[in-house]
Amino acid sequence: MKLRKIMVGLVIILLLVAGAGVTYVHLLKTGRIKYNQYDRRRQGMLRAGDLAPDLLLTTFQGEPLRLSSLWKNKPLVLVFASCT
Amino acid sequence: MFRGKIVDLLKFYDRYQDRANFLTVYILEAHAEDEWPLKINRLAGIAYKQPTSVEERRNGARLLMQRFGYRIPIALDGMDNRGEDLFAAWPERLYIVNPGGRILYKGKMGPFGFDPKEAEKVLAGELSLK
Repeated sequence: MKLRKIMVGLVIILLLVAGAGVTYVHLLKTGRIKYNQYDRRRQGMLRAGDLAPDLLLTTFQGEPLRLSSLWKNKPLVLVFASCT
Repeated sequence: MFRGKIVDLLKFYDRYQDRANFLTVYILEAHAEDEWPLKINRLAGIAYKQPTSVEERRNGARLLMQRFGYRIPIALDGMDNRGEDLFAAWPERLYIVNPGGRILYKGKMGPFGFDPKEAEKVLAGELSLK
């Protein structure tokens, strides 16, 4: 009987630890917990349906480019990224 | 990591570049050597400090094109990181903006939520309505 109680207790503790681990990983992946001080992930204020902010950028070739010039007649697929 | 999604992204680009404009905005490095280095980057010979000039940022973009065959047009975010800031874009994120400037799709934050296939489905659905 005592052994059974110990086993049940161990199972409950294991489930709690596993649950906490899964929750922690989920919060990390969704950016609600930061990995470190260099983790800049955030959700931001923009939502679907909002007007996109315009930007004045520089093309790779060095020409000025206004973002809004690309969403005049066609949709614009906008990729933000870096190589690292 | 963005490099792992390039193949899907280029397939998306090849299928839709005649019906949509595509632009990559090269932003802050996700894993700069002086901030958050990754072993996988070092093994791949990619070790960049966080750029402090447009030219340094351009070098990262050049690497993306030359080494990984990246052919979606690239523009550089300003050194004030305004694009990254306004679009909450770091480390990578996808948007689709409709003609006129309304956001049709805001992808989830990278790296885990960066999903070219999801964006492609949204664009395909939008174009099929027209």
